[in-house]
This record gives sequence, C-alpha cells and structure tokens, in this order.
Amino acid sequence: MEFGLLIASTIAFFLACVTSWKALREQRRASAWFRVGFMAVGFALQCAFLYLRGQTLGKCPLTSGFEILIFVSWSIALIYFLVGGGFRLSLLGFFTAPLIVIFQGVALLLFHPANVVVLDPGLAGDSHTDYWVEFHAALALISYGAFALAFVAGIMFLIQDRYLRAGRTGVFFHHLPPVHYLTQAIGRLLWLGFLLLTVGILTAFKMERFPESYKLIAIGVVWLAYGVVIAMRVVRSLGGRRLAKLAIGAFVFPILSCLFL
Amino acid sequence: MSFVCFGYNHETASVASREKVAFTEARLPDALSQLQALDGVAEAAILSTCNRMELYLVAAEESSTGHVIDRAGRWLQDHFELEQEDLGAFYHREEEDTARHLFAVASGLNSMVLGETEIFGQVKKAYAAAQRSGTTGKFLNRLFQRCFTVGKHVRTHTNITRGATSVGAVGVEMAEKIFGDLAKCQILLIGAGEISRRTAQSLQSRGASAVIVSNRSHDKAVELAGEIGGRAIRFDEWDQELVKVDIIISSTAAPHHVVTTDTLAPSLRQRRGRPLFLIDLSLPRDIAPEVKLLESVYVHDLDALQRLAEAGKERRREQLEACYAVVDQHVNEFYTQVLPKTRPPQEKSNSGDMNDPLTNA
Repeated sequence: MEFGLLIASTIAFFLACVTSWKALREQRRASAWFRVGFMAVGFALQCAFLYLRGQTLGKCPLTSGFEILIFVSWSIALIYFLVGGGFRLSLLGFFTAPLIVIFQGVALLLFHPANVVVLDPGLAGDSHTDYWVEFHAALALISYGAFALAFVAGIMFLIQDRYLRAGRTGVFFHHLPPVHYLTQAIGRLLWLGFLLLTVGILTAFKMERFPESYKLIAIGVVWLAYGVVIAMRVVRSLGGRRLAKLAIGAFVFPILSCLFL
Repeated sequence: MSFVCFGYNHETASVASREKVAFTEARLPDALSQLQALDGVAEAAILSTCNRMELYLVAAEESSTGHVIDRAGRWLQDHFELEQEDLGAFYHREEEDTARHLFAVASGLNSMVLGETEIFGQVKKAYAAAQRSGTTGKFLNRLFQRCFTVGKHVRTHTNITRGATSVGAVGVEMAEKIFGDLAKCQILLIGAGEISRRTAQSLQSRGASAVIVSNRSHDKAVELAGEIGGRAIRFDEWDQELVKVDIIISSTAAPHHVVTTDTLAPSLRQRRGRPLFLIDLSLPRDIAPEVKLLESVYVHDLDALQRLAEAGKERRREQLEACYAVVDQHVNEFYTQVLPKTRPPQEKSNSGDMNDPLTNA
C-alpha cells in the first residue's frame, strides 16, 4: 500500500513533466493547470505515503536513505507549493517536477522495498521518541527543499540569461520569468534554506542524544557552503549570473550530505 | 438574406487612396443611415481605420449581392467624389467569405502587423456605432457577436499575438524579460534621435516612468525631454546617472564608442547586482562590444533588435494556419448552427430588434 502510493506519486510528477513539455513543444497555452494539478496529486500521495510510513514506524519517517530521499522530494514539493507561488515564476513547476521524479525514481530503483533498511537503530524500533531529533532532521531536510528550488531557479536564470545575451528567442524564452525576478527568487530561497538549516542545527543541542559527529560535519559543510554564498551575495553584491551558478554548484553539498545522514 | 463585405485595406490601396475614403466618428451615423437607406440593403455597419474601410452589409431577401455591391460602390463614389479607377482598390466578399473575412479581421489576421490586437477594439467600436445608429439587425448582430468570440478564441488558443514585431516592441519585450515590471525602471537617452524617442515612448507605454535625456546639443535634449515628459541633463553629466538608471538607449552620431567598460565599471558595484539594459541604436555603434561581457549587463544593437523583430513576424506567420483553422471552424458553426435559427428580415429599417437579446447585449 505505502509503496503503491509512492509509485503513484512518482507517476503523477512524471505526468506533470510530460504534459508541460508537450504543451511547451506545441506552443499551447493554458497548460499550467494540468501541471499544477498533477503536481498537487503527486504531493498529496507523498503526504499519504509519509503518513503511513510514519504510522508504521511510530515516528517521523527519516530512518533510512530511502526515506530521506522521499522526504527531500516531499520538501521540494512543499516549498514549491508554499513559497514558489509567491514568486510568480512561470515554469518553476516545469523544472521542479523532473527533479522530484529523479529523487523518487532513484529512491525506488536503488532501494527495493524489501531491502529498505533502517540506518539509525537509535531512531527506529525505539519505543521512546525524542521529538527534538525529528524536528532537527525534518527542518534540515526541508531546508534542502529550499536549496533545491534555488538550484531550479538558477537553471532557469542561466537559460533566460543565455537567450537575452544571444539576442534570440527560443522555446522557453516567452515562458521563463524575467531574470531580475529569478535573481530575487534565488536570493530569497537561499536565505530561507539557510535559516531553516541554522535552526535545524541549533535544535541538535536540545536532543537527548547528540548526533554522531560525521552527521554534524556533513550538515555543517552544507551550512558553511550556503553561508559563504549568502555572504558573497551580501558583501560583494553578486550579480544574477554568478548567484545562479553558485546556487547550482552549492546544491552538490546537500546531495552529497545525504550519503552521511 | 446574404452577407456582403465591400471595402479596401492596406494591401489593396495606397495611403493616398485610403485618405480619400475614410469616415470620421462624427460622420459615421449619417453615413450608416444613408447606407441602410440604399435599395436592397437591410443592415449595415462600417469599419473605418487607418488601414481599412469596409462596409458590412446584409442584402434584403429580394436583392442579389451583386446589386448591393453595385449600389454600395456608387454610394461611395458619390459620397467621396471618387473616380471609377479609385474603385479598383476595392474588394468584395460574399456569404461565408464575408464571415471568414470579418472573423480574420477581428483576430488581427488581416492586419498590417499580423496578430495586432488594436483592430479588435476598432471592430467593437464600429459595431457599437452601427448599433447606436440602428442599422444592425439580427444578422449583423449575430455575425459581429460571433467575430468577437472568434477574436478571443484565436488570441487565447494560438500564439498569434506572441513575440514583438518592431524594433521598439522588441526593446520593450527584452526589457520586460530582464526587469519584469517596468514601472520602477528609469531610462537614460544618450542622443536625441527619432528612433530613441520612439523606443523610449514604447517603454513608457509599458509603465517606465522616469526618462533622462542627454544630448550634445543641450537645447535638443531639453526639447525632447519636454516632449516625452522627461528631464534633460548636459552631455558630460550622463555617466553620473549610471547608478540609478536601468535602461540606456544610445543613439549618438559619435564616430567612437561612447559607452565603454571603463565608463560603466565604477557604477556596477554600486548597483548591487541590479541588471542594466543597454540598447544601441546608432551606427557606428556607441557601445563597446566588450560591455556585453560585464556581469548583469545586457546589450542589444540595432541589428539584433531588427533580427528579433523579423523572427517575431515569422513566428506569427507560422501561426496563420492554426488561426485560420479556428476561423473556419467558427464559420462552419455560424452557418450550420447560428444562422438557421435566425429568421430572415421581414422589413427594412428594423433599427435593431429590441426583442433580440443579442441586439441588447
């Protein structure tokens, strides 16, 4: 049942990709509702999966690499629906949906349901629940959702920037948002992710059992990387292109850190 | 009952010919009444714009379309004192072709700038004027109501209105893809050329508020600034405005580069990453080529803008087939579903049937 929901969710996000790509190729308008609709269905199915998984485990489902990947996918969709709409960036969903499909696809392919192992024996199977642990982990992974959207907005910026510099218009030109809006969106998403991650790290000090050092180092490196990007943005007044490249490049750190969480 | 369209447009008549046959708004009611009073004409509407003058007529039951066209031609000849050869620029459409033509006109498919939307409002005005004069009836009411539906359908379901087709419009489109809302954008004009003025006005029409004009001849800068509601500054002062402005339109006659990386570099840091859009409309170019390598700086010269305008026109032409498919579908529906429900006009001067909901729409 749980995995059926997850597969259905991945299919919904995949359909969001296919319909919006098809509409874009055929230069048809009014496709956004289909895309948003499929993504909303995908998100609802993600929520259902995580809820059932949580019920099974008796705690927040962040006990294995498989669950972490799904939780990050859910965070991306969450930030997309909560924050993305506010930026009014057309095509944000078009670029976000494939990222979610990749994350969930990797999770489903690499982790066969039968082989999903619990990585942290301290988290699973323990009848006692330390809510600070769940809060810490959830905040950290939701911040990854914000960083992922900054990564997506960075890609969108570079595509639009290329059109504008080359003085040509292509498939995406008319649909992509203005570069100034994209720069603002990247900046705000980086700040959002950074603040969530900072609070997430600080909550570790409230935990009954302090996390293993390798985990703290992994998450600390992510925090440091984004801290440097934000400092450069503030101090050196980075232009849109450099900020977009840094938002894309820095996303390597959250991805790699997943291996250690 | 038959529909007839009789008139000319920018493709069939020169500007000189078009000047001869044009109806001002004040003269329309009289002209409509005269037209409807012609033998064989049951309903009438006149569409008169700078690029076309077309009479839309409904032939009374007992009249042939040939007779109505002949009467309308004679009336125009008398009304505007035209020679017989002047009528050579006129064309006529009958029945389904009239509907197809009007639907295409309202959709901007028959316009000089393909896909332009101004014509939609002009058709609405023409229809409203005919309604006020009481020269429309069941048939023209239905035909015009349907043409508005078609115009909207074509605009929303195809990309006929997408993409800029003139240098000014391309400048605006690019600016909007850089800044989004242009309301907060400040423009600096370096040089007071005609094309600069027009481009600045295009940007102003989309909300750009503050315009600063700088020219070697300060008097000319003051004159242009007054004309477009801007502020004039001396030519040796424009670089002091670089921190504040968002769009620079340069069109001087200088034989050397006026805007270089050295000119811009000091201001870029203070701009804190805000984009700067430079439009170079002069030949030889005012803006040094290496400027486009600067972070957050976008440069377009006349060639690039013209190339984009041509590409925009081509893209719109590619949409024609899809647009006419929509038009044909509506013509078919109009003749198979709408018209059969409409009674033939019983008498002339029906002055817009008050029981017809469409008349009162």
